[in-house]
Amino acid sequence: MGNLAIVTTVKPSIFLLALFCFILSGCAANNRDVSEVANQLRHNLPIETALTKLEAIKVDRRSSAQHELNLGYLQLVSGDYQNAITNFEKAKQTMASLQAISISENLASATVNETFRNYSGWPTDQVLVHGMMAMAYLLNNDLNGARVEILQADTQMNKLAGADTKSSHGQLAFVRYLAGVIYELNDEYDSALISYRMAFNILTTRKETIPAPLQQSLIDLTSRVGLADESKDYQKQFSRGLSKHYTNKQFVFAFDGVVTQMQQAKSTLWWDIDDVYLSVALPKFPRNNYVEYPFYIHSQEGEIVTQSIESIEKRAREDLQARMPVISAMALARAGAKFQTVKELNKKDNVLGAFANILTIISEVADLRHWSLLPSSIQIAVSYETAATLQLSSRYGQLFIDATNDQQIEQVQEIDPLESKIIDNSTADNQLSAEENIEGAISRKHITKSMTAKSRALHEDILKVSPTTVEKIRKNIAKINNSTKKNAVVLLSSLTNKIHIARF
Amino acid sequence: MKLLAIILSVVILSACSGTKVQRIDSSETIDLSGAWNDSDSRMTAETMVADVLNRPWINRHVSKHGKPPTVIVGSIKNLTHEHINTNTFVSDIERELINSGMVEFVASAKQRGDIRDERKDQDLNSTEATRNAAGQEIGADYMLTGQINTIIDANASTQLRYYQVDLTLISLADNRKVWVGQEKIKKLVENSKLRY
Repeated sequence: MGNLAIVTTVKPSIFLLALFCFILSGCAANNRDVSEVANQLRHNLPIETALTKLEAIKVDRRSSAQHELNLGYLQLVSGDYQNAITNFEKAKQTMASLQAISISENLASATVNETFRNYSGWPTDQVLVHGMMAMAYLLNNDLNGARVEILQADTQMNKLAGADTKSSHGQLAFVRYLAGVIYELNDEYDSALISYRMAFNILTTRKETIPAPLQQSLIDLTSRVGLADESKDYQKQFSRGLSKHYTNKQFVFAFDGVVTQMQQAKSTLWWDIDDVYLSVALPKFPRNNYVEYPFYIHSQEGEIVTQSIESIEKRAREDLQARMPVISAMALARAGAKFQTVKELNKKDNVLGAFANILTIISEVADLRHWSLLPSSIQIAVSYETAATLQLSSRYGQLFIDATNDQQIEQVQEIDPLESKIIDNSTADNQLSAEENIEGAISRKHITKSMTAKSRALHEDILKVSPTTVEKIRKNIAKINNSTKKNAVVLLSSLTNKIHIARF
Repeated sequence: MKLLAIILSVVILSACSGTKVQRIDSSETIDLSGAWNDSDSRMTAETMVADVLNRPWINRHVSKHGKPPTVIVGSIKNLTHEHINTNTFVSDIERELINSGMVEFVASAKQRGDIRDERKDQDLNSTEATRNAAGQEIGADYMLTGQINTIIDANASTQLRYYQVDLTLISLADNRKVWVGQEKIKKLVENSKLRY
């Protein structure tokens, strides 16, 4: 009879335990799967496979924004700009709708764990989503769309900074610099200068190196808008002069690596006075072992190396650090509440108390969600080629963009920027000789472009090569006719070895 | 335990209400997020068109040329913080101007291209009696261009959204600006600080 009473008492607890385990395993599995994709990407997993894996993950509603951010980023660097914009927009709206304080989520995080919160994005995510969207719009040849996004990013950064004008909370130099580029492409030089100055201020506050392209932009634009004294000050400060008058400026952005994944630090201790196990789980980033690899641009004027403007590794750690006091306080409050519950149940029934204690230990899980597929660093470079060969290389491979028409080419692949038409390689040589004004022509020795990749070639030129070492040079030649005197935005990523180009 | 189960059931069931669709009048003003919406577009177009039609440039044109002015709507640039489809705004302006009967309207550059293609097709395929000849188009006297700007001031839960629509009517004959209109909209958007 006594045994039956125990079973009757325990049944709901077992049910609850199973329910919690089920819910928690779902959350943890989501994040584990994404982290696995991130780690595999770091070890040369093809981006198409990563995308397929990511799309196959069944995502909990609470983590939908995180999933959309990851999906959008992979789509952006693989050239699927339209879907990237769609996913970023969804993530943006979800994050915006979650800015109010949730009563139920706070209650759940104070009693069970932090994963019961909806993912509303870290400050870096909330700003960077606009930057990535702006990049997607740019590469989709939609300058106005990109402009809208950087205006929204400005509002978001101002909101995060609050009244403290010197706050670095959620302030991204990359996004400010990108805003400058977009304004410059739109011939809004005053606004461009303001954005460049803001990027400069952020980097100065952080005591980080000012990348050469930003230095040059500050010098050139202050001179251009008539602030000669300020321009001279910058020239003196950066020990460089005004650049030559340009008609073809290539703004190069490079995404390198995959950001380190957050880990859980969990401690469990036996409190023998009350016979209760106490458990506390907190998120942490492991030591930052990221080594930055630059991209190289070889032109007739010499070699240009991309320089870091944003270390996402640092920003992610700063975000966590800023929120740690709240997370820790909540974890301690939760441990206290769980301890008290188990203690009370122990008094009533030892078995029930033991079950409850197991439940509290299992349910103690750190929230490890973050925008986990972001690059470790964002780098920039600028070149001013008008009729020369642009050769791009990195540790991942070597690519050429050629602006001359007399280059020896073995095979030619032409992409019409308006019709996204890819001409068959066997007939491309004839096409090239027949057409003197080729907007974009790409050649490479090993062409393996699939139909999917072709469909993604809307308004862009994509080069894809097999990963190789810097020393092993391949015959990958892209021809760009710069006679139209257009500026260009170029995106490189260590994940794909594709080059994305949009001309304005 | 029973109480917990009841609360849980209520919460789950409350989240399971199906999709509900309600038809409403297209002129009804409903603000959801505070962003630029159809009502802003329509009301701004109505106000600005009413203004442009009540200015002296029309009478001057009629007295000088003896016919109503012909207008074309050029580009309306979106310089706001939002992805606004300016086409709806342009359509609203066109509708208001045409329906006023005080100005004549010609097709936009893109529409003209389509019509010219059709005319070429008629040249080849239509009968002599029904064919429309090329070279009979009416040239516009004025072009309406403009831009929509925003200034947003925001803190954690409150936003002040200021929209300014600037339209300019330019004479195609001599680049004179014959009318400059401005419409301002100011919205205070307060988001809840708490949610369930």
